[in-house]
Amino acid sequence: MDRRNLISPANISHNAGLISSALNSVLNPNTSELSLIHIKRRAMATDFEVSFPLGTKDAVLMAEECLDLINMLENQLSVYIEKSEMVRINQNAAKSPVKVEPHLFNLLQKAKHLSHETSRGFDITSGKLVKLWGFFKGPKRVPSDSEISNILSTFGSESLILDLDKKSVFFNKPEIEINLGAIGKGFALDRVKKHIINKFGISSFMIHGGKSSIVCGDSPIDQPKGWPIAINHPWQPNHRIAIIFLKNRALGISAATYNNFEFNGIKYGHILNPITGYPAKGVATCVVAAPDATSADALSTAFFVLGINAAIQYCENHKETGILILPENEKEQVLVVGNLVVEF
Amino acid sequence: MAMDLTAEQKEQGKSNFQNVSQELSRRGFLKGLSAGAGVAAITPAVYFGYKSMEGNPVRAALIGCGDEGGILVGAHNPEYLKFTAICDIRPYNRDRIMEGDPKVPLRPGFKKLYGAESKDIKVFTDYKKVLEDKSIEAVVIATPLCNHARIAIDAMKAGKHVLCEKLMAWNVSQCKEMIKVSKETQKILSIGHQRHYSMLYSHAFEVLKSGVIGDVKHIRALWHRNNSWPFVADAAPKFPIAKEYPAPKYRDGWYPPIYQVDHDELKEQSKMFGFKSVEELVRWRLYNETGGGLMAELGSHQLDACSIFLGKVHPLSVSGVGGKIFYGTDRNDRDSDDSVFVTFEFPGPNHPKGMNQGSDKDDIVVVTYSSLNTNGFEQYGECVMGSRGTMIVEAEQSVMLYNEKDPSKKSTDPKSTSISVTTTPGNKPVLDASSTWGPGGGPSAVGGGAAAATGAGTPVSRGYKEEMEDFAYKIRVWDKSSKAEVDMPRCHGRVAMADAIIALTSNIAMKKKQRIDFKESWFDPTSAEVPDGDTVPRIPAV
Ligand SMILES: NC(=O)c1ccc[n+]([C@@H]2O[C@H](COP(=O)([O-])OP(=O)(O)OC[C@H]3O[C@@H](n4cnc5c(N)ncnc54)[C@H](O)[C@@H]3O)[C@@H](O)[C@H]2O)c1
Repeated sequence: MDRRNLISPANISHNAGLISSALNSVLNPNTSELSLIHIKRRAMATDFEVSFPLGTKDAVLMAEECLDLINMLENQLSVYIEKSEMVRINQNAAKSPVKVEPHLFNLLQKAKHLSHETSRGFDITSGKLVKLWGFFKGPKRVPSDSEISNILSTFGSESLILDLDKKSVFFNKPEIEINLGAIGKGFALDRVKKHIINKFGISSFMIHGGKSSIVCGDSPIDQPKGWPIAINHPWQPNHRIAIIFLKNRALGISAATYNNFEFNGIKYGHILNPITGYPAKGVATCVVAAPDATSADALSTAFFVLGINAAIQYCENHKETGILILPENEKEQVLVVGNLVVEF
Repeated sequence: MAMDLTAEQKEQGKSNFQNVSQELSRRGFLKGLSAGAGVAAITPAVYFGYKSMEGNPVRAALIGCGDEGGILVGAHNPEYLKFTAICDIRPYNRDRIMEGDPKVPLRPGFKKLYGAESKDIKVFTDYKKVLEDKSIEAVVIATPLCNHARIAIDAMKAGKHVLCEKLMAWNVSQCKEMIKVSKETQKILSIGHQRHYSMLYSHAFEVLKSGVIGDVKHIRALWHRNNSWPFVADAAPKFPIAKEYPAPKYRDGWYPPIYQVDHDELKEQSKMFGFKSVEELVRWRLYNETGGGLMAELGSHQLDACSIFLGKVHPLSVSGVGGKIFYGTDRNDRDSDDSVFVTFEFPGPNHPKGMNQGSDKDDIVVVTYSSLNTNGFEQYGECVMGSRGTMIVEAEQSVMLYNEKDPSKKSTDPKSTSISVTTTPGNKPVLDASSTWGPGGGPSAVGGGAAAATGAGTPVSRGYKEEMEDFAYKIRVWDKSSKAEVDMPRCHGRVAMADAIIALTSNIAMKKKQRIDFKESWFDPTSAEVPDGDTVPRIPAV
């Protein structure tokens, strides 16, 4: 018997989806209620969760396969896993071009492109900067100004030399270290999304990684606006800022909540500005909706770093993108710009 | 059970079980499940097939008001079964059943439960007087093992229905006699193996039957306790402790202190009630003449559970090692073993004696059971090990389900996948987004999900309440209708006798250091055959 039968005993009835959704509407006469089944597993130092409308046939079976895929991607992308492809690239790509698995190659290409588009508000090559601040494995510390200015010139995505034909990467600056922390989760979600649509033929689903990267398929039945996602205040979890509705789109959220630390009375956030080398300031939460999770993930970091004006400008040129920014200064207003279905 | 599981993994195992039960229940394989979104909650009454008493509860007497009597009182529902009388020979426990046990909220006592009406409860010391009371319809017996048969038989002969605590009786001949009398007198006989009335066990069985954990070849059950810590007397006991008896050296429920009130009232009389001494009465679990040791007290419940899991089948053989290897002279001494390790062969589903009565003689399930007194690291429970998954029932409170790691798939430890179900009103958020990067965004920050689905926090009924409700309901239907149409309670004489046979035969196997094959005739109440060593069909005079 297939191990997935454990949780979704498909051997009992293949009509389960039909039966259960019928049953569901009998039991929930208020049809606008939304019942979901969630399947969750730890990966990439957070929880990944796949959700389907309750009654979706073989929900657990499918979700397990998706989570397996995420675990596989973690083994490929993580800089915390000794034998990952990412670690191998970091170790060798400054010496000579390293051949890269095609999907990962596409990701590097996209990351480079996004770095360019955001004028380096987002930059995957800043691994050394992350380490300098002790955000990699700790201990956290505040580097000296000279340490920072020295390191700033050692990286930058323009120094990633990507050979499309050979699918290889070369680091034009020897100090470069790639860290996919701000884009890897989104990439994983996009991969899973493709898998669900192409392999399973399912269109209604929601997947998230640590609740900060979310990708949704078609609206669930009776939810024409889309999947409702709450955006809460980063320091006051009970204070809801907005509800964003997602339909065949993705969301990325960056906020100055976790992993910050205090030194000499100053609080330092965990999101570093690759241009200045210091933690980004001014934004409390930045939410970006985009057609794909890879972009949403990267852009939420970029505009957390760059702030409101850059966000407005970006949306003018990218009509598919929507951005919500809650400024750190409570007196300033929440910004909503671009393509975003939002309720307050 | 399951000593290598983290708290998080346990929660995940619980929601896995919950989800499978829900799937089964939505597909009509389960009559319902108590908790969970999207599935209508079903009451135990509906599940176990009994109805309301329409304002006419059964009037019952509690005979034996000790530790278990107190628990039963705490769990009973007076709409079904109302205690109008109590009976005990120990003044200490007659007091405690009314006043409650201040240290144990599960024993609230009648004063708290019945209020002013508790004054109307008749108090007896001689159970024969209870049986003469025409207003009493039924008795609940929670006395030491040695006099279950005597009191139950006398009660049925006096026209009372009987709910008797487990173990059914001190030996198998007594069990057979009880069943015979129940037939002759046409009185209901129900035995208190409460797992038959636990929704948790019912659902666990349904989940197993659906085949989700694959082929089950092994079950590991255990109840380990650490009763080796020094005894500390209450600073200000309500009743002084009698000096005439050896004081407990270790903190051990089977070796309680003996109170002066009991000594004063019973030092002469205890023999009249079938006990050699007050000590034998109070510490009855320790002696071969009055108790049945760890197998009778703890093992019987859990082998009952194993039998339920395998489709209420009878075991094929037993062997084991037992001994008094910790306690001794002046140290909570006893007749009974303080450590038992037994191994059974049970028929698997396709064995000729199995649930499906197949033809595969090799379809055997090996069941191991252990109970001991010097280590309490693992929580008690049953672990069912299948070729595709594992189901763990812990402390009658939770069921956890895990799949086996599939070597052909690159996946992480299956213990780490969690499943949950949520329901939200239309357009209300289905997810609270947040920002996580590194630590801090852990599972505690994940809303809805597992906690909601597993109904965390509310203790699960162990089945005492439902067992008494069903007993009462069966009495009402029984007395009103032609009896043949009425279902017997779930743990009726034959079922409970099988549990007694398992426990008592295990004791014989350990004592004789032999492997014993169970004979089908032992389980047949009409046959005179009983396990070896059970030749004296003794029913002690009470
Ligand atoms: N189902 C369960 O989970 C469970 C748990 C614990 C005990 N039990 C069973 O309940 C029964 C009682 O156990 P306990 O722990 O309450 O023991 P206990 O010693 O605390 O209580 C037994 C009581 O019976 C009284 N008694 C003895 N002979 C009597 C007689 N002739 N007439 C009236 N009263 C008499 C004693 O004085 C005592 O108060 C046992 O059969 C035990 O196996 C069942």
